[in-house]
Amino acid sequence: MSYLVLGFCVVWVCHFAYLFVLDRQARQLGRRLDARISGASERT
Amino acid sequence: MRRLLLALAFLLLIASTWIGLTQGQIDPVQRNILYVHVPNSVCALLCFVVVLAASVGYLATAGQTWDLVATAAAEAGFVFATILNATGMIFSRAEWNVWWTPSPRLVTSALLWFLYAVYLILRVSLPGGQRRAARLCAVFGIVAFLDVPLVYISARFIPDIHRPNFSLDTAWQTAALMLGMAGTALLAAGLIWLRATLLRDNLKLEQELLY
Repeated sequence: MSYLVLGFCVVWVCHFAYLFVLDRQARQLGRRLDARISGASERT
Repeated sequence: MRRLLLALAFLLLIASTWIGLTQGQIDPVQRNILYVHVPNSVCALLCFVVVLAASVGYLATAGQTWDLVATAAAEAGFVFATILNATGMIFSRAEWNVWWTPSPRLVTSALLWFLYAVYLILRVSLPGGQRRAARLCAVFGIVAFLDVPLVYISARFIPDIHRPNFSLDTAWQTAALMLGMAGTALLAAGLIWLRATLLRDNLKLEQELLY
């Protein structure tokens, strides 16, 4: 039973870890876009 | 749309786990790892098929979209290959009392993980411009794919501790496996789509900053 639980935990941890990495990259990109837009509006 | 796809994938995976661990339980209990091991293994191989197709597409057309898709599919495939090897090791320990043994299927699966780890390292470390890196990675993506058919045929043609195939006894067990397959395939598609979009937007922003 413990091996079964371990197996399912590994799967869910791997899936959520990768989703977390993608989410962090999306937020980072959003911040860079915001900075660029605010920089552009300051110049004009 | 992407969120809907990912949400649907997780719903299917939860349904598969629920059915697999209640109505469709396989005896002995540790064999229920099959419900996650098989779908993730199939999806890992499918992601590497996408890497191959995108790599050939990039070499033929030099279109940047092919390169982005290859990178995204390699990353998603690497995650699934990690799960393939990890759940395989756990199953092996529970079933055969060893974490790992040098059988053809296990060796080719481990090799697959290392090959795509090298692919991802190459993606970020090759010097000499983005186009050169993309071209070299496309070539490596095609060469690395040679291991995928070996993983598939290894247990079928060479005597192996790993079974070449398995049969399920009840309709509930088949339903659990099929839901798992569908959920994992949708998850893979969603992850590749999400990652490719992120890569494209990142590239656009960098190009805008340059000019």
